[in-house]
Amino acid sequence: MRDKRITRRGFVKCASAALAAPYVITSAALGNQDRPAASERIAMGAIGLGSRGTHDLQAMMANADVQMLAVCDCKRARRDAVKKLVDTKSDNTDCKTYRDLRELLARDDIDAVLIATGDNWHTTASILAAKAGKDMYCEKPMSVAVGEGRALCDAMDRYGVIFQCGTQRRSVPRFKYAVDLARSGKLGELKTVYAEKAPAKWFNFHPYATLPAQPEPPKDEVDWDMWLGPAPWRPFNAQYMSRRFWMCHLDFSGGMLTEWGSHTADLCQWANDADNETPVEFELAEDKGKETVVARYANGVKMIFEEGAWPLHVRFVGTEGMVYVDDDGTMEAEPKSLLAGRQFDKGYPAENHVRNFLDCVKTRRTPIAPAEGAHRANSTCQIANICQLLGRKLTFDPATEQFVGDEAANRMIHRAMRAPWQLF
Amino acid sequence: MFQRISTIASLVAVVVLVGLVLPVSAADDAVDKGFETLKTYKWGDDRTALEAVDKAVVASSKDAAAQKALQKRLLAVVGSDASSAAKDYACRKLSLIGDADAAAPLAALLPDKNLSHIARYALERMPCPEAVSALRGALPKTKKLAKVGVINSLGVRRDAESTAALVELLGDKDQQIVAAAAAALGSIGNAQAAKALGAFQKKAPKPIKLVAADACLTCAERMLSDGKKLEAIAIYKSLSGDDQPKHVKMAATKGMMAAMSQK
Repeated sequence: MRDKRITRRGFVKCASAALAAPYVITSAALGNQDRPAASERIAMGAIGLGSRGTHDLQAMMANADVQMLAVCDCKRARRDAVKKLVDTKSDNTDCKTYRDLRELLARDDIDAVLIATGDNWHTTASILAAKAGKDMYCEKPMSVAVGEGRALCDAMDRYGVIFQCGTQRRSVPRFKYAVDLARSGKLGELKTVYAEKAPAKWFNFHPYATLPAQPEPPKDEVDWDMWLGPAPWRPFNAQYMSRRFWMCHLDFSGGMLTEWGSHTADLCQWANDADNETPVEFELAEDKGKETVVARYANGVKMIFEEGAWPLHVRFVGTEGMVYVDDDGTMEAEPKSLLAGRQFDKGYPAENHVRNFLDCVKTRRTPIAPAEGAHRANSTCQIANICQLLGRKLTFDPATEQFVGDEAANRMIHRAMRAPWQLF
Repeated sequence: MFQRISTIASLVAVVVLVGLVLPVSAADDAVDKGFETLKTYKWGDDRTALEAVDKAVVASSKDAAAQKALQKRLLAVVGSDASSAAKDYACRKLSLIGDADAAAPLAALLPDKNLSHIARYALERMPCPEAVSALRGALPKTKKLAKVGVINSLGVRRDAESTAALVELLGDKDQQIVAAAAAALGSIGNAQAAKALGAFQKKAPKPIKLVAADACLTCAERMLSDGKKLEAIAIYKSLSGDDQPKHVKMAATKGMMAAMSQK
């Protein structure tokens, strides 16, 4: 057996090397009063650099303990623009750019990633990140199909990585206060929760529309194949990549229901203490002259997907009270005493949510919007979509995550991914 | 008097009957127009005429004969020289209503690099065993990414009968095929897959080491949920060495604790 004790020659060699080189620790490594030491910093990469991705990246970088080492997007213009932004903020040029997220995820020096790609990429990117041992902050909705969401939860559980869904209203005090009113019984027995959909007028395209073929740009300029990712192939057309288009399209998103429902249904689920379940019945109804979906939980609470109108809002109604809260900062309650003496800020900033994520990366505690809760809320929206597409009442078993007695609906729980992408 | 009442009753019956038949005929005409549109349908064309087919497919869940008839027409599109856009549409509809009769015609698209995925979109959703057989049968007939896709679909369906073929693919010279085969074996999660993956992950080349480890973790999970606790623990133990990255070791430790706490 080889003697593992260090030999004298080996010791001298090491010692000589140590003595020969000047002993330098950079101030960057040491940190200072404005900047934590390198060992306390979270090294991050950002995948998906559109408007929301850039917004989230800036929210991340506003924290002194974040070091943005890499950015990734399938559009070169975005990669270059965001790298400039990172370089300016970091006061160095260390940030590398990538077209392929797999190369970014392969870096051992990256602890966590921001995932703000198009919706159809969220699940695949998250699972790849978990397999690479990275924690992640993933924008909503976390999947485009119920089956995908479950696969994501399994991967997070397998690796024990930190997953925060970008449902930042969970970290906005006035929304949390409204949820606490519902959960604490201050509204009496909770009866109905209202989850607003995004306004129908935003959605001007058929949910499965196709566009005429255009010449495909060079791969390094726009990597069309990468942009499509797991979604079904179609020839290139620049309009697909416009958010106004892809958010309407059910190959790339969950449409009206997940655009706002990811937030509103999530808050309603939270208010109903339903983070580990979904409603069990979904049926079509009418709201303000438009078709919508009404869902019912096993505990009898109803969720109504309200027709959308700015500002985004939720409403919780119980036997003894009601609370309404919206993005503009309006809060209403019955009785009014529920809000007596309380002042809240407007808006729906991500700062608290981002900080919660970063703290959990360090402490390994469960963040405020973890995978399971995000999946269940998103599933509620996805099932409502299926209910509308099939035009009939559906019964869903939250334990098996299958529809009862409806094979067509069950087929829609899952969709095959385009190779090489897969869920497991 | 009686004759007059009888005449009126007959007239009413005729009006009611016509009222029922006409809408049904109009609906049939709209579906016919939809299929006619598909003959020349290209990417970006107006989709309005296809909505009648969309509705008919959804409505057919209550009418087995209507569903069979629709399937036949959709399969005719799949087997024709219609455009990829038309076949894409047909495959999506078949994903909702396709049965055993659809398996072979859809399988014929699997080697086509542009249509392979949308054919799998249908086949993966079809619960009949013929769909899985069709995917399995396509393994030797497909290449490159089309083959990777077929392997992925077999993994999604957890097709135990594909195990031997997938084990052989662990030795393929295309690294994407090797990675897909490993992942699919992990998903299938039977004893043969576990044995092959155990040997594979010890000698997997560096670019695929993580894929191999992940496949083993998935395999262990599957075996644990199938009641094979000791086998699962053995896999977790094999991933606990210092040759594994930290996050894999932690996942293995987590898995082992879950397995040992299971009665």
